[in-house]
Amino acid sequence: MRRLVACLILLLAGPAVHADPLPYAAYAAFVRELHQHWYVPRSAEFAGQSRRLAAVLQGDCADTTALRAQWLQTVASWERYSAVRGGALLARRSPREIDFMPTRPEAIAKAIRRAPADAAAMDQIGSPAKGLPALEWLLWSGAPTLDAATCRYAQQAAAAVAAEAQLLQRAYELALARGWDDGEAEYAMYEFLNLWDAGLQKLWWEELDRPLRKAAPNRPALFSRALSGHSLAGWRGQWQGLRQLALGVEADGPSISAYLRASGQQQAADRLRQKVIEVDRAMAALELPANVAQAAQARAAVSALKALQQFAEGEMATALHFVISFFDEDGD
Amino acid sequence: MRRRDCLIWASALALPQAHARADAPLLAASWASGGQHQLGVLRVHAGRAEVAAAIDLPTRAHGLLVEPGGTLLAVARRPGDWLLRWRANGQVMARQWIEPQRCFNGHLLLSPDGRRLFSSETDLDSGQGLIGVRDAATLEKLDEWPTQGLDPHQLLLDDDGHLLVANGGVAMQAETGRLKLQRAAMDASLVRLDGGSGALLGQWRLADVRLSPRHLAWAGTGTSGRRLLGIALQAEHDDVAARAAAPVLALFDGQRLTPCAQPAVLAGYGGDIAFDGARWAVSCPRADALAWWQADGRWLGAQPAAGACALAGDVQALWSGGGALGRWRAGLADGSSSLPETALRLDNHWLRLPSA
Repeated sequence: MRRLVACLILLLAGPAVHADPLPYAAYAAFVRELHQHWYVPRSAEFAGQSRRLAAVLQGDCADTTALRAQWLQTVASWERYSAVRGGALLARRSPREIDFMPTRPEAIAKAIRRAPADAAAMDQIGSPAKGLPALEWLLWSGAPTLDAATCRYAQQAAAAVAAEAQLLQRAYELALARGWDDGEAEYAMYEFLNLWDAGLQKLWWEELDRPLRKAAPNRPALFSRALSGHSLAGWRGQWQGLRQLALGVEADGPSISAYLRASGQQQAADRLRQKVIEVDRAMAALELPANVAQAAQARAAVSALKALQQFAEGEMATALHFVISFFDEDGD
Repeated sequence: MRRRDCLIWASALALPQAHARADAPLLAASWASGGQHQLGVLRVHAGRAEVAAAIDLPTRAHGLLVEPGGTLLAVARRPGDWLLRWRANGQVMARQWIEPQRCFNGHLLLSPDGRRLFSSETDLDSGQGLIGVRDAATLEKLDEWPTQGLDPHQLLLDDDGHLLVANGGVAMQAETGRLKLQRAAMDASLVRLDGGSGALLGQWRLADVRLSPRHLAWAGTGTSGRRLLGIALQAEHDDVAARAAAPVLALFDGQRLTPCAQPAVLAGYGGDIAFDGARWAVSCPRADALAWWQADGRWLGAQPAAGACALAGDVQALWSGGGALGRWRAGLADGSSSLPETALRLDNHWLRLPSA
């Protein structure tokens, strides 16, 4: 039940009373801008970075400094782009192929022994041994230089990421060229808002709060990207993606704030800005927690993100006339 | 619940004598208050519900279970990743995280001997539904049984110790939260699984494939001599009018799964289900109503019940949780109690705990 107001009117007054017409044109415009200014350029940027990663691996597996630097660039591009996993990212389930976590070292070792020689052979390798986390494991966990077998597998793994990135870019370009009818635009808007909300949940719960809760006292929490030392940068990258789609940075770029203002919801837009700025402050002060006892900044970031999510699912959802909830609509 | 369990609860909550009377019911519930999710016990007394005990939760809970020793188990809402065993004196007895590439779907069930705990789950690799078979003492997983469908939700034991499982049928990816995918390809069913091995003993589907069975309750024996199973349904039709008019109750007599007629528009969303000894109640929070049917499925009527979802009770009274706590007798409203805080939002399910 995507459209709260229409649904409530239907329920309370019966089918004889017509709901206000839905602003399909506004939905379509938002979704078009979202693709034009976000998904198409971000997917192109990520495709370029992942191609470079594959190229560096093809050139010289011994130069782990260059490999690591390019991996960091690639993953930074991915984190911002995939902060809201809508459209082709969702339809293709690409995050499983590109960013499966936690990676499984035993599955990677087995995959190296299988020595896949091409894309078809890589298709037979399971997600836990592929993607950017598997490459992180290969580049940071072992010897300073990759042996021949590991190098060949890393080349195939990077090529698989680059191939998926290319398919994603093409899918977003095709979607933009094809356009959206009314129903598709409404659903795409609903999907985007809910996945933006899911992005907040991923950041505060999966990335920060859950690892802290699972960690033993006085032991470091098992944060993602810990091997490469990219955890903190990764969290900030995800937040940058989420905040950009909340407030926008480009003159023509889409943002939830701009949509609210265009809909006459100035107060909700102002409140959104205020909540985002509170998260900005918390994320700027955030440092990698040494252990659970020294995680005050992380807990502050969790609180600020939860407050933003609560606002999004309540006041903002009401203003947008959409049900927004990572935790569903009314129930289960 | 046995008498010993009642005493355990009363003792755990250190109830004053006045509150230990039968007219001061205790309800185990989860709720959100001020942005914080909590699990706790509400004590209803003199037209008010008070928080008798509470503990903060990491995320929202869904299904609750009282164990024979008086402890409470709560499981995270789907796609969930934690289980919690709690005693109402505030002590967390155990915490269990879900295994990699699995998620909890929100309901739990104890085996007849109390030694195994069943949890509805999803395999995130394949999307297939699973029953997690756990050691009830340690909460560690012992086995997994396929539910032969997608999105398993509530599960109950039958008289033979086998499992009846509602496969909601809606595809979902944990990484996208609760966004429902590919509704046109829904595969909803009710399955009966062998309680010892998980083998499929039967599978039943409704003719309308967009009806998702979610919550279950038993009634007494019907005219056939079999116990009837009530199933609260949630409609997933694309068409708004079809969804709004969809049935919210089906009955299963051991052979046939049949939707029950309802003249009222209930928004196609049954939130919870209970049987009060003579009639079925299905909460319809999107229609702000509690809908009633006779035991054989004949329509009785709908009563206003703002936001009511959680249902619990027995032959004496049925309690609904929503904007207020409603008490129902013989299908009619029989008083309500205010919530302890107006900002307290009850979750979908709760359990009646004996007062003394």
